[in-house]
Amino acid sequence: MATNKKVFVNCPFDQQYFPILKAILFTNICLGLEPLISETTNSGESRFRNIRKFIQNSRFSIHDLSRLEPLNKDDLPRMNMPFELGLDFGAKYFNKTLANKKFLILEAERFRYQKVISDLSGHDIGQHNNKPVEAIKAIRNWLASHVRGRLPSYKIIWSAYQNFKFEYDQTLRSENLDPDVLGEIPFGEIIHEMKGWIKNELPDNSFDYPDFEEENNQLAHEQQLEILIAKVAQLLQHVESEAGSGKQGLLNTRKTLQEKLNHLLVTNASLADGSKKFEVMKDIQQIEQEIKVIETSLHKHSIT
Amino acid sequence: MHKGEERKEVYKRIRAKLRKAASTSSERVHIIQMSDGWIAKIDGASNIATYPSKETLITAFKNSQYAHYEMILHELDGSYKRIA
Repeated sequence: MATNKKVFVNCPFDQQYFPILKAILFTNICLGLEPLISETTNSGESRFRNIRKFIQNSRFSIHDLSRLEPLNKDDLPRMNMPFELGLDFGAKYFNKTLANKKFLILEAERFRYQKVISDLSGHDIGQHNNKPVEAIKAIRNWLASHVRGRLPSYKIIWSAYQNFKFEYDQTLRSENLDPDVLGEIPFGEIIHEMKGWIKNELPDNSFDYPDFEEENNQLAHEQQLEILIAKVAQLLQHVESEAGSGKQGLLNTRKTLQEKLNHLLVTNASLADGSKKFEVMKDIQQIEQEIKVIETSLHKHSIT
Repeated sequence: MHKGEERKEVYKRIRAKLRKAASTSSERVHIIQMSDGWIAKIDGASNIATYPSKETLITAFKNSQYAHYEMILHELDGSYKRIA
């Protein structure tokens, strides 16, 4: 089954945000993903139905909440983005098949969201300071923790985007169109131009994003590791309490258990910081077998 | 021609022009501002070179085999202009 590389882009559609939105779309395509935004589909379908479809079909989501604060004094805050973020959260938490969906919540300023939606604390939050380059950096760094292998640096993506933007702007002007005006050409067209450009400029953009099923396996491995750590810690405690009784071989067993426990704790820490997320699980089953042998031996000698 | 069809023709032309621009060498270098320095990127190339300042970048470029290339200066806000 092909890996799902769709990303739902839930961002403001206003003139001031347009440069950031274009940079977000370019970054996603550059990093091998397929952006979905409501404007890209047939206008005959209702926007809400499209959004439901995007939420259901996407592996990743980017939700920008920077319009929680109105642009002008007399405007009201825009509530579509937080509403759609809520829908996406609902899908993730109440639909098992979407449990491993990954969200990036973007904001203009760091921690501002806490004043209005404090329940979001603990999720992936990025800030763009209303600058396209910062949005590129936030998205690239977020995706780097969800991919096997390395992604190009944000500087390479920003440079490629500047190159594209120069050609794109010139081309649109040659057709008497203003590239800086929102709605001058449909998003479907912009995405198509970006894809074509990137295909020439960065042809090797097929990055390896693990699919839902693999992520579920990963979660099961993590739980397995935690259970094993608790088991080894418990065995070590028993052995330490019996070490003074003079039973033969206990000192060696204690040393072995301590080494295994240290190794498992280091492995667990590597998983937590995400740096070796997909590589550290290989020897866990081997350790589990070794611990079983030790456990049987201790049981035979009435230590446990 | 119907307005919708006219639009479609415009999009077709845009696609063709961009495809052509992406596949041909244009003898142009993009000088791109970053928060911690400057980047030089030859049009169409995927690799970049970084420099601590705009001046060192331009000097290096003027003394290289690319000295005759057109220079486009990109500011951090995404705006750009041609420089002599």
